[in-house]
Amino acid sequence: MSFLQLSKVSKSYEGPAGGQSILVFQDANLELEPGQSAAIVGPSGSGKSTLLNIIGALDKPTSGIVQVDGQNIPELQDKAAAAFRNLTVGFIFQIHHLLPQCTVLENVLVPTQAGHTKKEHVGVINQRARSLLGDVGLSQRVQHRPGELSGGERQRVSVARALINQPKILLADEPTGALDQENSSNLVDILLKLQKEKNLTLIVVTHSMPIAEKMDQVYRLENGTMQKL
Amino acid sequence: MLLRCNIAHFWRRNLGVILGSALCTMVLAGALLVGDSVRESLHRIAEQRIGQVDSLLFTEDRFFREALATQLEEKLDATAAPIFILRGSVSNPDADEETGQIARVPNIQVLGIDERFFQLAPRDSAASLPLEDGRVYVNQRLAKRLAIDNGATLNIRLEEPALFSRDAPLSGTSDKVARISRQKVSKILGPEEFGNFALHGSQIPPYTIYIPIQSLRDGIETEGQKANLLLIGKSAQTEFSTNMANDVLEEVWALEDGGIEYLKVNDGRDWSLRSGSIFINHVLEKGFRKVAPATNAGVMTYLVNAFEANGRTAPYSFATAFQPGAAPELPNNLADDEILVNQWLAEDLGLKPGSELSLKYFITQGRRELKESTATFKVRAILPMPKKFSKGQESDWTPAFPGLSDEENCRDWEPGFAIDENKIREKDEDYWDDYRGTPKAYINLSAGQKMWSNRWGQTTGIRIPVHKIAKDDLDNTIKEYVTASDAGLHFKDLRGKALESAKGSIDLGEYISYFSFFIILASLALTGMLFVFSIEQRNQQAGVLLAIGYTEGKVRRLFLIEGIVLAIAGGIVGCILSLVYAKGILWGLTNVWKDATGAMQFDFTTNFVAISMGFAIGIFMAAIALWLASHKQLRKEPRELLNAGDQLEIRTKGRPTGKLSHFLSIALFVGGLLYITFTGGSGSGAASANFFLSGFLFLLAALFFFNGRLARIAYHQGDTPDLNVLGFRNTARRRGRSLVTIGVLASGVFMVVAVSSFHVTGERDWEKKTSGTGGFAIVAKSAIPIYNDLNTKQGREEFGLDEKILAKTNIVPFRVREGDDASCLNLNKATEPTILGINPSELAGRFKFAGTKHDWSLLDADKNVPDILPGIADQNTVTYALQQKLGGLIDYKDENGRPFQIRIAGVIQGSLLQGRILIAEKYFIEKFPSQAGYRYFLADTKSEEIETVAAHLSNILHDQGMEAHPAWKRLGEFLAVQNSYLSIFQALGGLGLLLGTAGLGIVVARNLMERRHELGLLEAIGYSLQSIRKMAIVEHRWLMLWGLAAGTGTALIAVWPAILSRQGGFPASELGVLLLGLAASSLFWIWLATILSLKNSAIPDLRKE
Repeated sequence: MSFLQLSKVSKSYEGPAGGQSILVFQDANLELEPGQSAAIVGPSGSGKSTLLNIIGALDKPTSGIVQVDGQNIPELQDKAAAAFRNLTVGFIFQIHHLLPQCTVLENVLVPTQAGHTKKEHVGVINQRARSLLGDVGLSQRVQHRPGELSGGERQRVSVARALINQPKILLADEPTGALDQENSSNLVDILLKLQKEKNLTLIVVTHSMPIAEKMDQVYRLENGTMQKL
Repeated sequence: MLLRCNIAHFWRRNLGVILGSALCTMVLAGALLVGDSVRESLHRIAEQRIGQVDSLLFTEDRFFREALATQLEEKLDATAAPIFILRGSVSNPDADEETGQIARVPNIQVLGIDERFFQLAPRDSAASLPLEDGRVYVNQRLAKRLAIDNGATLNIRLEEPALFSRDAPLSGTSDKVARISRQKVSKILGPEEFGNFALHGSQIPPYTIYIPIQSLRDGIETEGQKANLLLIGKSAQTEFSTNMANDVLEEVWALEDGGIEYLKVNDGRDWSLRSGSIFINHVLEKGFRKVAPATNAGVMTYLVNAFEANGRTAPYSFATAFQPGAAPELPNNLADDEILVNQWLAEDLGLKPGSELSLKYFITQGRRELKESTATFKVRAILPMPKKFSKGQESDWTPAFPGLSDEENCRDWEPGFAIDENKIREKDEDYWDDYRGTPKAYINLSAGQKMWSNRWGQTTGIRIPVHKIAKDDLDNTIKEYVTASDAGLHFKDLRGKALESAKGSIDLGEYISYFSFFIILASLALTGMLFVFSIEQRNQQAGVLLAIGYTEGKVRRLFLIEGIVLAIAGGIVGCILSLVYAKGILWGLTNVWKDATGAMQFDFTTNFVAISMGFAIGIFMAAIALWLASHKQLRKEPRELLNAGDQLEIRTKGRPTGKLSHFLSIALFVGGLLYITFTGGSGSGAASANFFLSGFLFLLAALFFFNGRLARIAYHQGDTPDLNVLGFRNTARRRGRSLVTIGVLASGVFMVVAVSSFHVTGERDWEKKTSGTGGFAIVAKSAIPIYNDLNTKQGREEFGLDEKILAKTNIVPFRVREGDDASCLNLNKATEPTILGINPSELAGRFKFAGTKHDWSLLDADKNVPDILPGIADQNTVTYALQQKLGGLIDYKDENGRPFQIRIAGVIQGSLLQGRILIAEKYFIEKFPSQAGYRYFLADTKSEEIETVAAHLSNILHDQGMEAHPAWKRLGEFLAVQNSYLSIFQALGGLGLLLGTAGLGIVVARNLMERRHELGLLEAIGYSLQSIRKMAIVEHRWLMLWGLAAGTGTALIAVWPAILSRQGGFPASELGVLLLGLAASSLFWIWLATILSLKNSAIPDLRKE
């Protein structure tokens, strides 16, 4: 069995009272091993983000199997799903969703306060956070607030945040959607570099084929079906 | 870490939470401070009232030696102040009515004092106040009423006290008013100088005049150094107690203190034990009979109107009933129908042994009504002539009847009934000159007691052979069997009772908390709502936290703890504000709502415990509100939170039909109607509880109804979506928010409207017998008792009342045993309320009973348990002053200090008899036989003659200190207290309502802020900014209208039983004005919030998206 396996995963939503249900996609399949990367492309509304959310235990499939590292993700209870998202998955959103009331360093440390991590010395965690910020080129900005950073810098902070708990999977939903070309390119390079260094499984949802082609596998989600390109 | 960041960053946004919590804490802590301040104030007033006195001994109409005070002082190492206390009236002969001076004040307290009285005053420096003949002190209240200053001249009128009850037969004339004229006012005494001294607890001191005790005694022509009130305090003994005082009293009291006399009779062969009250009461007789029990003999001497035999009459003579052994010359086996006559009578009526002789005599029924009865006897023997007496001597058999014994001639007798002088012959006067009160006939004691026994006693003397007890031992022997308490001498714990009373009948702090309920509710609702707004604005942050692995519970706890920390900050602010709030309430109680408190001055007391409690409760309630408001937040998928941000709306499963809500609404409404029907609702005895419960049910029903309506409105289809339709449908978008707005408005309106309906006046429907006046036109009270029946020609002539003015007037008299004022005018707790004794049949059909099967005949019920008497009282007295209910027991002591209880057998509603307990007259005179006469009156008269009759009674009976007023005015004074409390409720409820309408404005602003994008869209597709503002106003106007309608409708239903059952009527016009005001206020807030939120075009916000 692969590290990450989706088998015949389908998703549909209930229609208005008495109406037909709305199919998003059906029978999606995907397999990845540790250290592998994949891109999911497709037109808007095709369900790419939904699929990512299902993998990240932010949503549940209508049917199908979703297994990560031997765990059946849809069957996880709330607390277990939260722990999965905290320890196994790192999420990067299109909009950075940094907390404006916290500094850059504090934003990176937020996932460590969720209560699932084993007790580590504060100094050790802080050091790891600073190291990650160094990896994304923001060592000099640790005490700054999100409002004082550029869009690219904020997104790099969200990358560091996603990695603080040393996850096994990194899920990025349109990470460059709000960035210009230069920042997008920088961000993707950082992602891939870190993925290789830490042997992460990376899945990226993107509209951009150049970015998709940098991944090991590319899948296209369209008209309710997913095809491997 | 996150908590610290959140609090530091978002505190401005959360000012609403801080403010709401501050308000809640301010009100709660403030109310507790008010309660403490009131208690402290009452405590201060109690301390001023009693000074340094610990115990008191009050014998009312019986008098003890002033020297008793000195004896007690020595034994107890204390200060004991003897006082002569009487009721009376005072007049200012030099009153200038043009300058506002009043000529006369009835019902004053006259204290005859010596220097020891001021030694017990609150302030030690008062001890130096001098006492001079011809000079008096008055207290501030009396000085203010008379509008006088130092140096004014006053005349005092009082009843001359008498040991012998003036209700008793042969008690002499009742018209004994003493006058002490032209006393100069030396000083007006303040509270620290004993200016507020009173025997009973009240925040309003009695009108009081202080006069040197000897001046008072001289004025009322009392012999000897006597007093009837003794105050003890400042004992150096650390264990001093009232029990200790009573123990010492038992040692030092003399028979004279209890009105017990003895003298040698029968040529020195017997002691005759007697009472200063002439008839020996049953308690004393029981004790006397234990002295030489085998040999004592009872005697009863009485004045008969006439002896008749053989067609002849001997008028106005004494006869004696005796027990075998009373005198050696009298046989021991006289039968009940036999009589012995002396030589004089035998010759006068031609009697010989075997002759038939009739005795005619008066017995006294109520109100000094005399009934003449006749008894017939057979002459057994003729006794030799008795010895003659010289001037100043009296027969062994006859006590000193007032109005008789000290008169020179029979024609000058004043026995308490009219003597027909024409019947008195010269030989009768000669007999009086030679033999004084020597009885002309003798019967046996049992026969005499059957005829002449009365509530004051059944003997006038107990004879004991002298050889049985030497004089030196007689006092001690009597005291072995007669205790000081038996003789009417016992100390009561004045300090303990005063401090207990000062705890108050109602906890004003608690009441202010209840009255502030809507401020608290509104502030908590605002707190919760603003907190939810704050959470909603951070939905995306919550989504991020959930997405990165925070559990829903952890995120919710994070927000909640943040809210609680802010609430604590608000609470600290609230504690500071509570000092201002409490002071404001106390100011209001003294100046605005003074009818509720008698314009009492309150001392503001800062109490850390009260503030802490208010803080703790406020934080707790705020935490509950925050939890309630937020616990349904964040119950969404993290992706929904991330995507929708503050635009997120709560999604429900399927489309709600509102059927369950409508069903619950109907069930609650029917439940409320049934509750009112079976309990009587707010018109019943448990009016408050029923009112709140039924109102709560109706309000809940209304809210469920609107919940169902809103559910349906949200998914309503088919209408062309113009601005009106959009506005209407928008009310349902945030159902919870809309319901909170409707609910707070409705609750506030409910309380304000309902409370308005409870306002009553005394004037409305006063003529109805079931009204608070009982249908009586006049209520009156006198300082000096009136003994005669004021409805009879004789009674009216006695006082010079005009028969023409009183032709249509009928007066119902009440006996009065003074006690604590248990009405709503007294904030102090009443432990022994004033008792009124009444003939129940005279109140038949009057007033309205709380129980449907109750009436005044309850008072005549036989006592099922000895020493538990049935009583009836006003509902407010029972519920609030005594904190009792039907069947409750109240402890009393009779005039001999023996305990008994009054059971509350019936309760009347909203009456002017408030503050007292009514018992049957027969039981009253059983427990307080020496409480003679009547001092409280209710009168029927024609409504157009009320003022004339009241003025006539007050003027003619001014010597008795009579004050007569229209009954509805007196009722109005009590209702003014009730209305004052309702006004407090309305004022505070109105503040809460104001918060509610301001909250409506906040909801409007919030709603519009959230929908900036859609409003921008409407503008972009062609709607003008003005029309969009109109839509917003339409939407929120619906919320306002529903809130007002729900509150008004449910209030009217809840108070309908009260409106029907009371005489208050329905203030439709006032309510109309109130509702218009509320609507206008709400519309103003809606308009203001709309204008401010939609000041500029919303199109730029559309571009941001």
